[in-house]
Amino acid sequence: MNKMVITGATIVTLLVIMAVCAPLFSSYDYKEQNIAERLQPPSSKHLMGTDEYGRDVFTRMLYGARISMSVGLIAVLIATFIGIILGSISGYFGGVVDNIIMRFVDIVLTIPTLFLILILVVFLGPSIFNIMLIIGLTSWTDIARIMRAEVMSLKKIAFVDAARLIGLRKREIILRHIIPNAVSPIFVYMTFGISGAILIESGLSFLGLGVQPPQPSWGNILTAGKDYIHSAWWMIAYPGFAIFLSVFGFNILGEGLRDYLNPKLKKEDL
Amino acid sequence: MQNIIEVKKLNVSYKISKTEYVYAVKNIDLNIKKGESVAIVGESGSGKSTFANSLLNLLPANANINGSIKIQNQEIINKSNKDLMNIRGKVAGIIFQEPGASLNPVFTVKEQIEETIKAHNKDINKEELKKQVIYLLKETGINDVERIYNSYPHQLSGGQQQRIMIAIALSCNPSILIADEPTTALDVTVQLQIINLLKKLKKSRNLTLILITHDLHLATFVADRVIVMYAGEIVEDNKIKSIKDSHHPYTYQLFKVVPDINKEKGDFVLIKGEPPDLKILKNQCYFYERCFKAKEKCKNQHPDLIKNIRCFYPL
Amino acid sequence: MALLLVKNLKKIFKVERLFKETKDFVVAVDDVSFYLEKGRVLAVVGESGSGKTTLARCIAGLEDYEGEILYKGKKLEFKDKNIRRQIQYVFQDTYNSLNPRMKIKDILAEPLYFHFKMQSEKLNEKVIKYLEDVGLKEDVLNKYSYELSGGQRQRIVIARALTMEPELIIADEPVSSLDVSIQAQILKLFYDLNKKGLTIIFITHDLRTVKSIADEIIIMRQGKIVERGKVCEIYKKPENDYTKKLLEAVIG
Repeated sequence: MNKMVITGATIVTLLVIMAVCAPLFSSYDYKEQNIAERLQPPSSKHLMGTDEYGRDVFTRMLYGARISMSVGLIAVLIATFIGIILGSISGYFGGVVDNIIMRFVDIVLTIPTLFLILILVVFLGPSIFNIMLIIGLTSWTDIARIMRAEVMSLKKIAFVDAARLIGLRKREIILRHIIPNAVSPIFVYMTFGISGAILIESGLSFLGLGVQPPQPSWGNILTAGKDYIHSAWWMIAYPGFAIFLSVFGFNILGEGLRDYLNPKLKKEDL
Repeated sequence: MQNIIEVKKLNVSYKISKTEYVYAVKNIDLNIKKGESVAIVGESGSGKSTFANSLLNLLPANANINGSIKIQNQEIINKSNKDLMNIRGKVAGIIFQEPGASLNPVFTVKEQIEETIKAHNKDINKEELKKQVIYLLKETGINDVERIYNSYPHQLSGGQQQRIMIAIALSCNPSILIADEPTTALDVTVQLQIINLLKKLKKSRNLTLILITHDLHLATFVADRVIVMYAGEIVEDNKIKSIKDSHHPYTYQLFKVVPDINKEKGDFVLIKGEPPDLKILKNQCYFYERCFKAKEKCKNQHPDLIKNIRCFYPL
Repeated sequence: MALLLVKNLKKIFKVERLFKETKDFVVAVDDVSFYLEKGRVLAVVGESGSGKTTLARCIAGLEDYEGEILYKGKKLEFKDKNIRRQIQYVFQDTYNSLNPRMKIKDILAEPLYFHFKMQSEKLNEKVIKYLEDVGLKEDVLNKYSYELSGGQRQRIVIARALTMEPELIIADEPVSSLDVSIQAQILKLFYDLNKKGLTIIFITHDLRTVKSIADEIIIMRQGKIVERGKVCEIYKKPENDYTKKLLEAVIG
C-alpha cells in the first residue's frame, strides 16, 4: 500500500466517522440557538466557536459533514451507474449506437455544468435529494468515456472470445466478463467524483441554492461567515479547511489507487 | 588461450516482497575463452536470462548480486554505470528477443546506430560515421541499404529489425556478443537467416559468441560448447552435439522431449512434472522429482558440479 | 462424410488508420477450400501473416467471412446451441484466455451452468472429471489463473473447451508459449484426446511439433493454401518451393 492511499484513506475514514458518529462527538443540538453566546471565538465550551445565532459551530460542522459525505457518495453512485451502463453499451456495440451515445456525451459536455446545475436547482427546488440527483446526472460523462475505452479493448481479449464460444449471450458477456474487468480505473474516478461533488454541494450551499437553513452544510456555514470575516474568522476558517481537507483526502486516495492498481496487472517472469 | 569471461560463485536473487527473496541463479562458476561459441540452454526458471543480464549488469533494481564476474579481467559487479560504459558496447554487445521493443520508434535506423557509435567515440566526423553505419548495415545482410538507412523501425520486418540490433551491438567492435533468445519471436525462415548471420559474424569478426536459448537443437547447431541450466544452476557443461554426448539425465531427457521432425505421430517421450518452484527448493537434487534415473541419494543430498556434471549418477 | 467442408473462404480486414479515411484492405484469407474427416488431426502451418489464425477464427465462429463452411453436411450456423457446442477453440495466449477475476472452479463451471444448465452436485462432479481428464488435481479449483503455471493454465483452457463436449477442437498455437518439457505433455494430451475420437485442427508455425501429432497438413502463405496432403508424404517429398523453404529452415 503506498503512502498516498494510506493518507487518503485515513482522512476519508476520519471524515466518515465524524459524520456518522456526529452525536457522539457533540452533545449540542445544531439548531439550538443561544443569542447570548453569539459569535464567540473557539473555547473549551465551544471547540470551534459559535455562529451568528449562538449555535455551536463544531456541532454544525459535524452534521455538515453528513451532508457532504452523503451527497458526495450518492451523487457519484448515480453518475457511476449511468456512466458504466452508457459506456459499456457504447463500447461493446460500436457503430451507430456508439455514435449516438458519444454525441449525446458531447452535447452534455457542451453545457456549462455549473449553470445547468443552478438552473435545475432553481426549477426543482433545493432539497438534498434533488442536489444528489442533479450532480449525479451531470457528472457521468468522464466515467462513460473511460468505461467505453476499457470495454473496447476488453472486447478483443481472448477470454471474451472464450465466453462467446461457450454460447453466452451478449448481455451475459458484458455483465460477467467485461464490466468486472473494466471497473478498476472507475474506482479511481469515483474518488475524484466524490471530491468534485463535495465542492459543488458546498458551492451551491454557499450560494443559498443548496442545503437550506437551519440544516447545516459547510457551504452555508461559509455563507453566514462571509458577513463576519473580520470578527469571526472561525466561521470561515473551519468550513473552508474542512472542504479543503475532504477534497484533498479523496483526491489523494484516488491518485494513490491509480498508481496502486496499475502495476498489479503486470506479472513478472523470472 | 585466455579466459575472456570469468565468473566465480555468482549468486543473483530477486527481492519479491519486504521479507522474501528468490534465488534466480546460484553459485555459478564459469570460464569462457576468447573465440569460443557457447550456448546456454534452459527452460523457464533455469536462470539463463538472469545470467545473461548479469554479465553486463542489466538486472532490475530489486536484484541482489553476489560473487564475481570479470570481463577481460575487469570486475563487473558493483561497478557504476559510468565505469561499465567501457565494457558495454566496447567489449561486449548484447541483443534481445524482441528487436522491435529494443528500437526507439521515433528515431530512424541511421540515428540509432550513429547514437551508439558517437557514445563511445565522441570526436568522430560525419563522413566517417556514415561510412561505418553503411558498412555495418551491409555486414548484417541488409539489402536495400539506402532505404533502410532512413527508415523507422516500424517500417521494417522482424528480421530486418533484428539485423539492425546486431549492427548496433557490433558497432563499437566488441569482442563478445551475447544473444538472448534472438530468434524466438521471428518467423521460421527468418530464424535460420539470423542464426546463420550470427555464425558468419562470429567467424569474420572472431567473436566470442554466447547464445541463450531454450531450443536445444538451436544450441547444438550454433555452438560447440553447451551449458545446460536447471533451477538456477549449471547441471552440465560440455561439448554436446547430440544426445550421445549428454551425461546429465536432464540433458538426455531434454533431447528426447524436444519437438523433433524425425518423430512420427504418437511418438512421445515425456518428462513428468514441472520445473520446480524456486521459492521452495529443498536440499536435494533439484531435478529429483522428474528424473528417470533418480535414486535414494538424489533425494537427500544436493549434488555438486563434478567434472562439469551435477549428478550423482551421470550417464 | 467429411466433418468439415470449407469452400472458397475469404476474409477481408479493412485497414484502420488514425487520421485518414482509407479504402485499404488486407485479404487475410484468400479463397481457401479444404475438407476434414472425422477423427483426423489437421495441421495448418504458416508464418506470420499467412492467415492461419484468421482461418481458425472463422471456422470457430469468432469472425464473419465470405464463402461457405459446411459442418456435417449442413451450413455452419452457430446460433444453434447444439452446433455451437460442437466446435471449440483453444487459444495461444494462456494469460488472456482466462478471466483474471474468476476462480478456476467458476471458469470451468460457467459453460456447464450456462449451456447445460447443470447445478450443484452434478456440476461439481463434472468439473472434477474434466480436471482429471487434463491431468490436474482439485487443488487448482480455488486459485486464480495468474497463480498457475503456463502449463497448468493451458490445461484449464483445454478443460474448459472439453466441458462443451465438442467434436472438433481448433487449437491455435497451443504450446508455443510453453516450456519444451511442458509442450510435450500438452501435445500428448491432444494426442490422447484425438485417440478418444476428437477431431483436431492444429494451427502452428513449428514444423517439428506437427510431425508428432498430425495426420494431414495444409501450408498457408499470405492467405492462400500453397500445399496440402498427408504429413508423411509432404515431409518426404514437398512439391511447393515455399514448403521446401520451410522444411529447410528447420534446425535439427
